[in-house]
Amino acid sequence: MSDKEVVSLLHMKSGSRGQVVEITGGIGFQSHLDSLGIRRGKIVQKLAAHPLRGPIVIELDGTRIAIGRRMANRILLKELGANRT
Amino acid sequence: MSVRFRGEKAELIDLPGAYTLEPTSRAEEVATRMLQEADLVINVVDATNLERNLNLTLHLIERGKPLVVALNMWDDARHRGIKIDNKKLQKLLGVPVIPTVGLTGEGVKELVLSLGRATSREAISRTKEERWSQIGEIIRECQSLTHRHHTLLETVGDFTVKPLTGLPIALVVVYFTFKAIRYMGEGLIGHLFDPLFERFWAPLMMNLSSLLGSSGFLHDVLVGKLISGEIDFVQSFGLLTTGLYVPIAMVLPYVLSFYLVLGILEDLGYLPRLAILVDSLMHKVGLHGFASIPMILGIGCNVPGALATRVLETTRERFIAATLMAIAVPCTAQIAMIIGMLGDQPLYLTAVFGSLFLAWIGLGVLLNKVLKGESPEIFVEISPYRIPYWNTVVKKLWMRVREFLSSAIPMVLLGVLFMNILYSLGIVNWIAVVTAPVITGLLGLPREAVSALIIGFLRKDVAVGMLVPLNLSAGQLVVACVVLAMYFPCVATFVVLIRELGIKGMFKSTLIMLFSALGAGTILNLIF
Repeated sequence: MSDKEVVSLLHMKSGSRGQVVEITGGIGFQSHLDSLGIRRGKIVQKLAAHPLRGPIVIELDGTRIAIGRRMANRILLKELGANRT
Repeated sequence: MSVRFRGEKAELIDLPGAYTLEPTSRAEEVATRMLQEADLVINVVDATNLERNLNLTLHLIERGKPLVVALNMWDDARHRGIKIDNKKLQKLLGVPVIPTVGLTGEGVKELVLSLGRATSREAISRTKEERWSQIGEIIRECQSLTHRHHTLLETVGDFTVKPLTGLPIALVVVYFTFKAIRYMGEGLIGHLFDPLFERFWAPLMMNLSSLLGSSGFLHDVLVGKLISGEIDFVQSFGLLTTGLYVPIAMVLPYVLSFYLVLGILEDLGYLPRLAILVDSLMHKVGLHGFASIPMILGIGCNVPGALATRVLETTRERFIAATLMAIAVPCTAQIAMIIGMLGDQPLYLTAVFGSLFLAWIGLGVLLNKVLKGESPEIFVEISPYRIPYWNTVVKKLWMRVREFLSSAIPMVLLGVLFMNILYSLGIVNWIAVVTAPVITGLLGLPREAVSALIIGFLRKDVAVGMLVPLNLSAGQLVVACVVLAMYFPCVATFVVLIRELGIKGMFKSTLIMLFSALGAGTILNLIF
């Protein structure tokens, strides 16, 4: 898989995994995400996107996190394909 | 909470959960502020998620306060294949680290003993990058993961956070929740509390009544008015009759069953999942899914509901959430009384709660449009499901019921006494005449209904009960119940709201309450 497939968490397919390559936003936003462990280098799996502009649910380090769409749009990932488990 | 520690009295304060000392919500702000005053800090760390929790631990170490780390949920971590070398962790952190299991109390004794080993250290400062690289190092040194498959609970857990399966499950859960609460509430009333009052308390009260000469001020205050020669526990309105019957036999059964079911849902870990599912609905009223927590708690009692608005990030959200809750979320005490009055007329019962729901949506959409500012988005950890531990469920239920009994019964008694005095001084009549244009003109209620609105400031449940002797039609009952729910919070909620919103915020909120109550009451009066 090529390294260039960078996609936002919002647009990544449900079920896919990706590694965080960039978080666009100010220090405040970055440390906000940091508080739940989302930072560069982390691998996340997208579990679901809720309809009607509902939140995105991800798995990270064995825990599940719900995150709003505008925020998800600012998290850029390198897609790693679907998880086996 | 006051505790004894090494022969001295110490104040033990449980701070709201926080992930960082750079506050992102009011709750974290409060936690940060109170930490500065602490002499010793116990940092309870979730062992199943060491990496994330160490961020706060390192922050605390940097402050230099005497610190002990409780590595909690130690058993859970082991079950998930997470092995933590706590001795090494203790060495790397330089503060005592004690593995604990909060549910069973394992390790708590060692934790208390370790407090003596906590000393103050020099405050240091680290950048965020330094902190994370240190965390990475600690994790590499102390923690090893064994691969394992998803547990059954996790698989079920994922079903409830995916929209296609989650929504139907949520509908089923909510439906059975309400069914269970009503079934238990009615069962307790019909088979336990009602018979107790009718068979044992009523004869005693009749004896007291004849002892006091069946009339007079003292008789009316204690026993109340006899209705065709008998005591009517709802209408007599004496301290020892209605004053005890309403909180104990009409409200307590529902409080018990509501908090039992809520406690189970909380400990199971279902509430954050519900929050996600209602997120898009909550965005319509300028909130996000997590604001459903204060609303749900508000159904129990508006006071903890108002306190829970602190988990929201902005002043705007807290104002909207608190105002909507105070207006359109009736507490269990009030709901119990409304069911008691209209329970046999499902159509009118639905009209009451349907109107409140419409008011909630309508006002919320309006507030979201009118108030400046954007609403932040949900960002929350969905904690894994856990099988509730009966011990903690029962303990929490008992704490909440005790809280209800100790605050509600004195308030109800005070309300009944206050009303008796106002009546005997003729003040109620005077107010009724003055307010008649509104009460009768706009709302279509008899002018005596004002007495319910007066007592509603103290207790909403008693207020609903006061509608009984007025012989209202079902339509009038709907109007009265909705207006009573909306026009003003009870005094306990009011006090908390002033503290949470400030005087100015509360003043605005109160105006919204009064106008929306009048508006809704007038419209309902035209419909029915």
